Amino acid sequence: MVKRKLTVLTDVALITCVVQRGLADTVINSLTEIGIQGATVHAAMGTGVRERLGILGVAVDVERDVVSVMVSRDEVNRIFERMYLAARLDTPGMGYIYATPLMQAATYVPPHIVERMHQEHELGG
Amino acid sequence: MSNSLPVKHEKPTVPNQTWNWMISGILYHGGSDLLFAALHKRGINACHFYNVNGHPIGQRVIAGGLAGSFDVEQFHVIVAADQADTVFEFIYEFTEMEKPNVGIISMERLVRSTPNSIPEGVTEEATLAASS
Repeated sequence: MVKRKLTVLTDVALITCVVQRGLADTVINSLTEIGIQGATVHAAMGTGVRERLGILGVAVDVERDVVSVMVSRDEVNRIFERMYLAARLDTPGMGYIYATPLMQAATYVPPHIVERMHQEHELGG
Repeated sequence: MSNSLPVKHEKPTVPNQTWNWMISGILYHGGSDLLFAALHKRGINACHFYNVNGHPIGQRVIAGGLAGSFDVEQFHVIVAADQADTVFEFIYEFTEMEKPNVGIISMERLVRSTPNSIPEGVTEEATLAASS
């Protein structure tokens, strides 16, 4: 019987980007360009301004896409800023982004990467 | 040769707020839209929710593999650290979480976040709504 192994990642953070509906693909493409894969997208509703749009005629679409991606903690700032710019979050009404620390995470990690991590750990890298 | 001056393209600065907390919660019977309207009147706009399905705590499972309710909503609200406790209590009271089978609420610190700036008119709208 093959012994199952659990590789736990500890220095990771989750970046969540709340963007206008339809902009998730743009954010994901900006991530894949720099080799970041595994982002998750789901639909959501934003702030409760929809029912008051008629008063001043200002429209903010409340339908949102939420992009979540787990990244190494030392890459948080770089990827955070890339997603911010890709989603054009410097424009009012476009959305927001935040990063949460994770206690631990686990997924399938290819054996050669686990081996490399062990080697780097032994070398004090 | 062109006489025009060179244009300097500046990269927009990305906000670096490290003092925010995120309040997350699950409402078994929905109501996030009403909660967000109440938060919006108080100037809190960085929030979103989505539908999930599942079994509320304490509710009997009727059929295995089937969700007990499809009205379950998961919400997230981002607030500054100094407001976090107050907003947490407000949400708890507004959603009547002291009653059984209403939901769960939790709070966690964020590494980094940006504000959800909304167009000027909407901010005025919120002020009008709050004063009315």
